[in-house]
Amino acid sequence: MRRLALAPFFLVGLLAGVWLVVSPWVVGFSPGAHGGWSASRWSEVLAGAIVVGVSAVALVTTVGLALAAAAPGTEEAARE
Amino acid sequence: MTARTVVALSWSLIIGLVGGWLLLSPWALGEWATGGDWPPVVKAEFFGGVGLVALALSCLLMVTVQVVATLRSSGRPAESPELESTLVAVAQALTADLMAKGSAPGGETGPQPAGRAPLSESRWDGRREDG
Repeated sequence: MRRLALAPFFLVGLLAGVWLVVSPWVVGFSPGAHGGWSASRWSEVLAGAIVVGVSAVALVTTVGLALAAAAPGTEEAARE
Repeated sequence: MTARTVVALSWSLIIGLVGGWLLLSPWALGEWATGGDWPPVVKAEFFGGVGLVALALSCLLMVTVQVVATLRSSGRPAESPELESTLVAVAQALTADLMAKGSAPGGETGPQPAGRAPLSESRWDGRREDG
């Protein structure tokens, strides 16, 4: 269980990233020049995409390492 | 442990940097330069950044606590049950060996070099005098 202690942080980060991606439409960011995306919208969506990607990689890696260590026959599983 | 620590530290660093950028972006992008109430866009960016920085810092704290706990537990090998039972067995064997030598006729079973006192007489008698 201790191996998954950091997984909730990554899960919250994933949800926060999803919120950052959709927040320009939910909050109602002003459109940019010529009807395109404004700088703040680009900033928010790109930041959200980075947070989602990094959190997903961290979550998959953490859960994968925990499953590999808990698999029967491994040295760490025998230690516990 | 090491891979998890590296993943968590990297995640904390990236999330902290993104959160810091979101905190500063209303001013950096010139969306809110005047006084008065914050518009919803500025609030969303600022508080989103605050939340990400807080998340990164709390994850960093958790990693630090885990690393310190791991280092503390590995620094005390005597708490290992295998090592403790091995040390007890070695101590019992040494005690039995010393008792057997002490009860043997003459105190020693093997030949001794000339001019040298037996182990049971020299070392252990000296200890008794010290104590």
